[in-house]
Amino acid sequence: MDATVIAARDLRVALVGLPNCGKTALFNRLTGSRQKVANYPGVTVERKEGSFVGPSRRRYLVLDLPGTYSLSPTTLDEAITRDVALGRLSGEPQPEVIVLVADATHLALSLRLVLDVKRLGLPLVVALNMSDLAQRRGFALDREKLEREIGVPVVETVAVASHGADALIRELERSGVMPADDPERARPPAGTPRAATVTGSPAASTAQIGAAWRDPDPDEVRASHAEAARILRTIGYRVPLRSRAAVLFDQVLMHPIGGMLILATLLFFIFQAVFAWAAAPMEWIDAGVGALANLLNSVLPDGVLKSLLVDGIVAGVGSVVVFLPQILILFFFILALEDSGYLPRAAYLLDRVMGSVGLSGRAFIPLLSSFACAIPGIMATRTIPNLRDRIATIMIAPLMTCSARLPVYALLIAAFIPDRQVGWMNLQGLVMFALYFAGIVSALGVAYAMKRTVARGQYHPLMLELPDYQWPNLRNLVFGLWERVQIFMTRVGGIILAMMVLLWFLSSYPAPPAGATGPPIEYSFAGMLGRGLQVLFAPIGFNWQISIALVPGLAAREVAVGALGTVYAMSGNDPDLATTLTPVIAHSWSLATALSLLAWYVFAPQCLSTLAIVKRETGGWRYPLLMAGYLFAMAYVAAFITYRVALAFGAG
Amino acid sequence: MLQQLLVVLAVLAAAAYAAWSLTPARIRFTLLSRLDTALARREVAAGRPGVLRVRVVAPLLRRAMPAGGCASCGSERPAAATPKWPQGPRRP
Repeated sequence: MDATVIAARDLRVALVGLPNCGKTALFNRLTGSRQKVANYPGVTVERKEGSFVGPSRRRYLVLDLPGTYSLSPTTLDEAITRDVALGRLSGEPQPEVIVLVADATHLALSLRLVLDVKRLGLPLVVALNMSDLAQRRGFALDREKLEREIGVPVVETVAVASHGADALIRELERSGVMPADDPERARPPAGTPRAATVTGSPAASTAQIGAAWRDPDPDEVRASHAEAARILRTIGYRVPLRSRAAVLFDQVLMHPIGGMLILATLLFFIFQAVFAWAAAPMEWIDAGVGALANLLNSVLPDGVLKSLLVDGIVAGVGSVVVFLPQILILFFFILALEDSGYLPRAAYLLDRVMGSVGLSGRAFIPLLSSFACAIPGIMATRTIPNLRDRIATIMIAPLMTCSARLPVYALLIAAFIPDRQVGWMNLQGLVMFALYFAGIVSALGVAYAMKRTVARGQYHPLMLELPDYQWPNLRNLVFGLWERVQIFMTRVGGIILAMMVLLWFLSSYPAPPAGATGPPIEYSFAGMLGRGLQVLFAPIGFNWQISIALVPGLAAREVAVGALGTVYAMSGNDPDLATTLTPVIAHSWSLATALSLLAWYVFAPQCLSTLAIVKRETGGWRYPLLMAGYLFAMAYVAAFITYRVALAFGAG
Repeated sequence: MLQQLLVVLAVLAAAAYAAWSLTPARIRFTLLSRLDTALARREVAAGRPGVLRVRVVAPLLRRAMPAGGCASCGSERPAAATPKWPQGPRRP
């Protein structure tokens, strides 16, 4: 079939709705995608596209858009929704149908958005999501009455349930919204209101709608609110009651003192679990890597290929892959907390702390996202309306400890911190907690300094809709963890593997001169680079091997661990070095050096990808360069102080 | 000799992959778009879809399009394969 014909028959459907009303869950349900879903607002900050084929064999291109309360945006993510809906976004055709996802438990707000979107004149279907939840809370909505009142089709959906989107698909199929190439199917059936029909030139209608749109004036807004209230009265809507358990939970979890204690205990428990629960699976992986190295050693003849595989790839990649269990345990807790609805409560609790350093309460969710990776965290700052607040949040996001730092921390802690109990606490878990805490404190410190100098501005209090509590969805958890496995293994098999191969090459060539006595790496490109950099890093206690590892670590932080594995494997003659990085560094580094490297990685200049996204989000090189500069300076100063203090206490 | 050849190929492939992965998404997207356009012209001339465009360029383009800064970061996941909803009768 001709590609242009296929394109003409595709129908572009945009999902619009309030934040956290279940748009992305519905999008995933419709398209089979696995875009990130969480039980708090502001997760989706960009348009996402997927597709599905309906029973009529028509293909639907589905756009998932950031949540918005109206088509008069106050933040960048809301502006994306408005621009897509109006066909103003460059290179993005206007959707032919809008599916307005309404939260049945917060219908009043959704209804105002329905009235706003109706003004666009595009075919519209309302998907009444979470209708099961509203029913469980004792409120049965009269769908047909609502349909008559607002004059557009209304379907009940449960985006998190299988077949929860079937009614919506049937409505889209029945609605008669057909592209211009198929006029035969363009007649809407008679009966209940159906989405209007698009039969004209899409380009013409896009231009008309985009040009004619204007933000409503205050009188129109008041009229819209009055109309929404009238409809709600007519259909007999009342806000579904919250359960007594939810009210009780809020009283405890959001208590100014009790809530903070619970939050601290929870975080502390997570870091204890990261060490305690991961020990056994890490040993299994370590044994597997060791067996592979031994196998390669025994079957391959001596030569460059064996050196590449054993010293370069197995030693490098193997020393990173062993940390997968710890990353998964950390994400298990993060995903469970995201799904439960607890995180926005934590944001509420920490708002006072954030406000005391001048940060907007809205910065909490972006900063929280940065614990996984700074990139989604920086993108999530689009939900912050004030530019200065947004810049301040972007600049401190890399100080949140991303998951790529976990292998570095875990390696150094395992090598230098004894695995023993301090009271009821595991010392290694305690140190890990302290490192994460150091990242948070330094971020707050930098924000404090910024908000009093370059990003001076007023404090904007947090206004956040608290979602309902829910048990973490097992499917979400399993998929979320599987996704982390895929992401981690993609990095291991992609950029980390590539960097290890390159590092092996740089560590092997040029060959040592005749009569050389040291290991070949000392005469190699990497050796020369390491010795050159050592001049810069010697004052903070880094040897030339660490100096080499810092360079590929700019690609991704965990690459530094793999690089250390490769460099030490190339530095010695012991074939077991491929799998014994922890004891090797424990033996060859001083405690002062290890502490200095930990301090370095609390602030370490972020990976190149983070700099690229900061440039994109801030529209220039000023902020990424400023960020790289201040983080490098902080990392160096912190490592210097740590090293010197440790030496003074005899840890040299 | 064979070992050396394999190692050279591995190093070259790693260098190319690392360079591509670390290239900002916008540049990757621009390069792929140009390649896609060029291949599309050849497809029109040939009168049939090209395997390179469908199998290689299109997935890379899809992955580069929404991406933030890196190819390997999990912040932007491409959509899964198009699912088919309750199967209706096949259109003639």
